[in-house]
Amino acid sequence: MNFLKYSKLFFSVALLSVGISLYFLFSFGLNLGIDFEGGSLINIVYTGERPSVDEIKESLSSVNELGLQVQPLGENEISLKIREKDVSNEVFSEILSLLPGEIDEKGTSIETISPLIGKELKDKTLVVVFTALLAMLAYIALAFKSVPKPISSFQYGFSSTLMLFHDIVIPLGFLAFVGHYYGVQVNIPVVTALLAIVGYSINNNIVIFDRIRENLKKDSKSSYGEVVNRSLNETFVRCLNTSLTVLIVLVPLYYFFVNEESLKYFTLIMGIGILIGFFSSVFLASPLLVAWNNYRKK
Amino acid sequence: MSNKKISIYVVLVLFLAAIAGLFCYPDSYNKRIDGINEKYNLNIWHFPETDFKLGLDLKGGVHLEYEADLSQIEEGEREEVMEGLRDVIERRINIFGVTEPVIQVYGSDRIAVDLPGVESIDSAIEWIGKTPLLEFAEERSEEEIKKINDKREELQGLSIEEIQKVEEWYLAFESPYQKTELTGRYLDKASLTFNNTTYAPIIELKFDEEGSKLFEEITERNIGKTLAIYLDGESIIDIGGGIYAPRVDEKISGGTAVITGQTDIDVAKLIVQRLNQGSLPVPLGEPIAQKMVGPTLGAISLNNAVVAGIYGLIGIIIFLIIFYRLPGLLASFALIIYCLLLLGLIKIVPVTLTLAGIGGIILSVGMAVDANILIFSRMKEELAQKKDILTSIEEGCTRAWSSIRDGNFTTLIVAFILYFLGTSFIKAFAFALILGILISIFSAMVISKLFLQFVARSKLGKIKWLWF
Repeated sequence: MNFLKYSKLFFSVALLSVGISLYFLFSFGLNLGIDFEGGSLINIVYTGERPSVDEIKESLSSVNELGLQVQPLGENEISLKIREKDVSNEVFSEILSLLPGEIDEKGTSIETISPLIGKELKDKTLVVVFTALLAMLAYIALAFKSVPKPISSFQYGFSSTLMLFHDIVIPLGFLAFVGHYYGVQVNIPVVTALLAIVGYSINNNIVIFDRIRENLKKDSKSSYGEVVNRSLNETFVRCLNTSLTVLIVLVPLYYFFVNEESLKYFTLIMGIGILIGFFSSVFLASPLLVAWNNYRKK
Repeated sequence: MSNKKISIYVVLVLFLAAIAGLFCYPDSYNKRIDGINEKYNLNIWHFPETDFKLGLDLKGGVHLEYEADLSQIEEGEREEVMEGLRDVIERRINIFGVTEPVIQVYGSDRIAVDLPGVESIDSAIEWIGKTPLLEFAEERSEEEIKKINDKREELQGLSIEEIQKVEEWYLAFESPYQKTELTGRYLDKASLTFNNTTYAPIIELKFDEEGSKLFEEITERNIGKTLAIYLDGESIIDIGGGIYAPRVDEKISGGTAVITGQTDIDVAKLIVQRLNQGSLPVPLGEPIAQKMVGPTLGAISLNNAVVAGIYGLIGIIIFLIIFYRLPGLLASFALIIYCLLLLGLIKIVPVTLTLAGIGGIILSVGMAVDANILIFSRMKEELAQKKDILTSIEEGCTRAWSSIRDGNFTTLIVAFILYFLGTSFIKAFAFALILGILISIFSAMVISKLFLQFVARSKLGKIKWLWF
């Protein structure tokens, strides 16, 4: 298989997706969840028939000032969200007493985070993300110190970094989009998923770069492009398979936790990230190096 | 390695896996052993029937996080104060019989409280107490008390409007007691004892070192006078509108004081209880984060997680066998052993399982296969160069190692960063991932390889189509 043949097409697809993602990100912004903004999340399980959302909204009209968001969940659950507010427990009791229908009290869950903690978590998360990214950069720089010509270790590092950017920006753009149109919120689990993607998708890059390095040492006759293409062919199946196995476990995880917001979006973002990461390491990272090499020769 | 050696190792690995498996699920084994023991009158050892330690999100309960106001506490003492706070909360919770509460100090001024099985946030917050502040107050000087009393007399019978016109009217509302430095912070504990002969209740106070000194000074200058005890700015107990204030008979040094003269045991008991409540050293306020999970919800989540894990495992096994045939089957065995070892380790440490942790474990199952896949790909290449199977296994493992190391290393780095900087959700996930990655490397490099070598030397090793 010639991986380099359509690299221009792949580059354009990547540029376009990153562009659209950035557009979503900047025009919609991220819809941050209660982990970061503070607020409350109440999940309620109905034992009998679940009243309609309108009915629920109507019976909660006396606590309108809280800005409650009502969402049906699964077959017999609803979730109520209150954003950016400190809510006292009396209010919860009031809300629970106002709700129509038969509620399974043992199935109720309530989560509250004060805006203060939310702000702190936001700062902390930024630190975590940047530390993780820096660590990855340092690692790549070290791992590719002694790469044979024609491409320098700096370029391998640069390409990997670019891919990291690509792998994170697209899920972020996706989150901004679904956040704007479907109210999906970015919570701690989602951030965790993004970071897990960083760690995981760089694996594929490293395996491929590793193979390029090995093949460059063995073979000094072929052109750089040929060596890269051979390396990609040799590593393609294993990259595909390792990504597939993770996807295989993510599917049941998603399926069984459709009602559990924290794990649901964690799995979804993880899955998207794995796919994008696979695409970027196979079709973008190394072809980019070849394109760079060709450009310099001209 | 010789044939014999490999066989021994394989048996060892299987034995280890069996032990881990039985440790995870001892029930049916123990029942059978019971049967055998009864039948043959033997006494064969049981596996301990401990349960996995489940987090609140899996068994239901209340989680509360508090921020202590340490502004009044000196820098060097803060850690100690937080520990004290932890103890006090624990003591209070124990009174209410919550099983296995977890109370942790984190950060510099935070306390997280896990109350499994508790179904109401309201009552939980009430238990932990709304920051009762215990204060000891001494009488004001006679002059001041006189002033206050005079003013009170002056104002008697006047309406509110009239009162406000009188000069220094507010004096009348001042308490005749003024606060001392001695607060609940210096009180180690209060307890109830009884007089040996009269059986009258005695309230015993025990102060810490600093409190003893303060108490000594206060009693010295107040001999013959009374000391009022306030809880949250009010008399610790309501005695008909007055302020509860025992008399100081003598200077008390040594830090242990007794209050006698209370004849009602129930009142004495209540005072002791409130004194202890008041020894909560710093105000806690409202929780900054709280989470309540109903018990049925927790059970559903746990069940879902287990089922999701099993489906994931089955999916991977099918994938491995279709793609890698016999080696895939062997890797599947290694993967099952990997799961048993991981679960065994989680039980033995014990790691508290949360939803996030289980997510991490299931994800690690997907990642654990990576190392196997890398080895198999290399083996395939070696086999393609017409090398025999045993050499291919050896070469495949050796040459895949650098990729396995590098690949897992980056995930490990991220997991470690997550672990050390993250919140509890992230920590649980990261810990499971770290544990999973480490065991998965062992499972691929040692167990899978051993199985491969073992089978390659058997007759199956000669059947070419079974190997890729």
